[in-house]
Amino acid sequence: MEAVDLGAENDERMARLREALALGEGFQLVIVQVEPGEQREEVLRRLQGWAGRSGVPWLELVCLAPGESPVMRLEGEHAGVILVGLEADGVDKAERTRTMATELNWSRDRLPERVHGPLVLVVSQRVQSELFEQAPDFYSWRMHSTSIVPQPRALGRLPPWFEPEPEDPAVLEAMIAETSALEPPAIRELGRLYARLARARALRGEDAEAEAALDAAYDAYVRAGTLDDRVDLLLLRSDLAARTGRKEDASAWLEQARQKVRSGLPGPDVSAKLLFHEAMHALDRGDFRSAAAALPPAIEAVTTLGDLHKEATLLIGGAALAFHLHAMQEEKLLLERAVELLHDAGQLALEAAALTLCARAAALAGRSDEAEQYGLDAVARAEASGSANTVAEARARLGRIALANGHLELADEVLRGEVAAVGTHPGGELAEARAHLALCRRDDADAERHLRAALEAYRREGSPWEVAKISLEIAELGRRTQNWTLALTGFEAADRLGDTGQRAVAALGLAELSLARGEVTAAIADQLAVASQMAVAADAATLADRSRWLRGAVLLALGRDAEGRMELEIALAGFETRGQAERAAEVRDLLAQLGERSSPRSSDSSAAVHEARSKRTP
Amino acid sequence: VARQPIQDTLTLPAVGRREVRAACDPSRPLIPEEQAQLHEDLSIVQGADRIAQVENRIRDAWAESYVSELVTGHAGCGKSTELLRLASELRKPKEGRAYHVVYVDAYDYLNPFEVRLPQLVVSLMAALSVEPRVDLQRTRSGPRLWGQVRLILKAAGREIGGDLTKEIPVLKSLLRVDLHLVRKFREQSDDHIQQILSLIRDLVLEVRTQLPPDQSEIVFVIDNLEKIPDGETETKVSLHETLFLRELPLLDVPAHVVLTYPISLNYSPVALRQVFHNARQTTIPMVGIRQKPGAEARGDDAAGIAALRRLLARRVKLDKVFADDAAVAAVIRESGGCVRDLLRLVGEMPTVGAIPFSTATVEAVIADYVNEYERILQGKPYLPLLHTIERTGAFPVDTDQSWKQQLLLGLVVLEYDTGTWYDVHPLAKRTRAYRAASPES
Repeated sequence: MEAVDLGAENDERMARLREALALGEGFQLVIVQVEPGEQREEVLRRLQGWAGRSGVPWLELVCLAPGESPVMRLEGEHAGVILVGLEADGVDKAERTRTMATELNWSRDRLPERVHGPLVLVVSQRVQSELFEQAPDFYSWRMHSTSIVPQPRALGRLPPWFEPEPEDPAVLEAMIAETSALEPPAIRELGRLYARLARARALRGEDAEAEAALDAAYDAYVRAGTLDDRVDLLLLRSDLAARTGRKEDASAWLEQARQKVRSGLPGPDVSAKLLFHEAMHALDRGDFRSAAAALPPAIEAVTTLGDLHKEATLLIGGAALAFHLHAMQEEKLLLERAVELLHDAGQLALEAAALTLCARAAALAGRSDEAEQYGLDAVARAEASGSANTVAEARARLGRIALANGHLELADEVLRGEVAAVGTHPGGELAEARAHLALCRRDDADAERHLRAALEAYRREGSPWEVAKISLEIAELGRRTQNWTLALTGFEAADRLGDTGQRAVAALGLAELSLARGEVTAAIADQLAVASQMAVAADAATLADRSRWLRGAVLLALGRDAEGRMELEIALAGFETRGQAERAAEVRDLLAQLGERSSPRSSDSSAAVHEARSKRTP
Repeated sequence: VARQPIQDTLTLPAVGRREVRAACDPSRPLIPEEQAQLHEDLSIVQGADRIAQVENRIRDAWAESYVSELVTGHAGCGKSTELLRLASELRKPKEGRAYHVVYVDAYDYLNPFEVRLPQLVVSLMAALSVEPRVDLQRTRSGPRLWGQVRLILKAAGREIGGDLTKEIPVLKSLLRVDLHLVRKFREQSDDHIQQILSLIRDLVLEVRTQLPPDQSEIVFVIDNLEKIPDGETETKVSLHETLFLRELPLLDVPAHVVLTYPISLNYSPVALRQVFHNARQTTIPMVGIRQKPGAEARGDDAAGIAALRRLLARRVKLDKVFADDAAVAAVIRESGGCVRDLLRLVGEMPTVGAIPFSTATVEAVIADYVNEYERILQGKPYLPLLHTIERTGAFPVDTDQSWKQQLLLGLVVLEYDTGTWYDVHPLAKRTRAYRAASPES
């Protein structure tokens, strides 16, 4: 498993956690707040790596099953425990978490009898708040608590570059220094400069510096700002929190802004901004119903103000909503209106970005010529704007469209050449498109090089879904070129970071790699069962059929004929339903062989697995 | 609480990093063997020695008069430590009289999701059954009460044997873990409650005849009832109010009862002491470290800080562990006068700095705790209210009860001198969420 970069600040917190564990004697309650996902996996990996070494007591990882009581699970005696799973799953997860918090509170005094060393609770912010509010006696026992902060990552709602180019912090700092020396002091202006500095720092991923600038802006506004200034600052905090994936924080700051607006008489500017942020926040959270309700008044408000950029942003948000609702025509109209506005505003880079979205929308709607035309316009505007990120994104998009249209020459032309956006999200997209071009040309070495560049860009940006996607492509490339290490690491990374669908593909891939190495074991059958369950959960029926088919063959090889037959019959029904006649015939063959044999013979079964595998592999 | 006294495992006051951390473990209530060395009398800065007052009221009770002592306090204020101390004091003969203390830890007998009067009666019976010198089989009412309990259990769908000595431990476990049975048991008890109450009264009386004459008075100390989560009963009313205001007052046994209750009930419109017979409420407050509202300049409360310094000095060697007095005072101020928070902050200092700890170490150690409050407070609707409390030292009369409960339970707001005044926890005051909600901002 590859290590995940938690960032310097988090590394420091982890070091303190390690020190706290090493210094402790006997039972000690430790709370680690980290959201589920890549970072949590890394935290758990490190905790397990420390266990029993360098003074850290032995720690046993205890993962609660859905509905399982933490107190019952800790029955018996444990040297030390890392407890995960208090988030609970399902529709009643809030209630379940509350119940678990109550149980822990109630049983607090008995926990030291069961856990003789550290009890490390790895929890989300939601659970931590529940413990704080519902289990105060238990919570007050914590000997150490820490929080792993999310790393900077892209905007969920829009590409990070869909906004004016970030300002240069050095320039802003110089302005702050000059303004500070003014007599009489220009405190409010200083506040505004600090707010701009916070934004500039945040866009560069410099969160601690951004936070300091926000605090400085706040202090200045307390001394000389207006209500509007303070609301503006709260909205900025909300926005910056959303950019770093801290959705709860974003909601909280937005709520404070709402309260502040309600407490006074804000200007129309601030009211419009609040509506704007509320609409964008709803889009961010994927709350389409609220977004649909919030967008029209927000658009009206920003139109009244004449803020073309914000209006265009909302229209693009509306287009994204229309896309989700399968209203393609509305999506097109909204995007075109956004392009017009940005053109009128003379914002070349943003216009190019909007044109790129138009190209993508047209391509997804099957209007390929129109997509290429939008793409060419986008590249032209992007080049004129001089924004490296915009150029990279526009070229990547057009390159992909050209590839999809089979226009390799056009793809080659737009994807060629150096672009200064290496290591950014658009840089990643460009590298990805270049890899696809290389794959079309059957240049595996070049494809691998570009895929690795894309992986690096997405990883640096902290986009786990994209990292998993590229990892799967790398794994497939490794499998095709028989580079097993490449294939294995790719599948493992996707299995760790991907969503359910990606993990289903990865689990199937890992099982197939094991089979290819001649391993036919019950563990692989279990892995294939997990793959098919995840595929079903991800609504990937074909993938589920494939997993069942292969599992059926493995079970036959293990002599578990009854189970194998059942899996094969389900797979057969799936293949038939989805019109995959060739595969259905292969399964029927396997079932027929099973019927003929009088007693299970592993050699025959292994051959069946081998046969199934060799026919299945593309 | 069976464990080795801390002074047997390390030299106190502690000097080394590891020892400081162990000496300041916030999850260890003081056991009787540790009291002499570690207990600091904070009564002078908490309004009075409230636990001594509880003891005095019990000892002063005349003849057939029994008292109900209702004790509460914030998490970390030292309830368990104080109750253990009370039990220990009551067992000592004073003026020729000692008490037979039956310590009932609610955790051992009850399921937190279904605590009602019938279960509590069974808990008292079960607790008596394991007391030395007590033999329930030799009483008249013991087997009769057991027979009644068996009848209810049978109606609830569970058969249990007639030998109460053998079967009580089984029932005790069942009532803790089998929520379904507990609910059925409570439902089926409805028609028998008067008989059960009458029988437990008789049983306690009979048990007293088995005790030595100079120790024949019983004191039930029922701890951890304050941890019962509030919820709704089958009739859609608050469980806390049902249990503490309606059902528990019906428990009329010839013994003194000391029980803990949720602090939120301090703010219930019906006062607990009005519904219990011969009752007193005791709230263990935090130690005041800031002057009360009304003082001209609200600086440090020198007496409070000095008391906590003495408490700390029993555990760590201050002149070796801290660089100067300013650092000691700083960490005490940040604790808000909450002993457990003070111990936690000092116990954490070895992870952020080297001995001797300076004010910079204090700043470093509180950073994580401030962040914790930050995450919890952000977006909360009661943030502006905190500024009012900070300024006036009181909750406005129209404060939402659920907010009040959340703030007090979560140690966002601390109570001093038994409800005389309140303040916002110093760590909460440091958050951006709090500062951003300031009326001046």
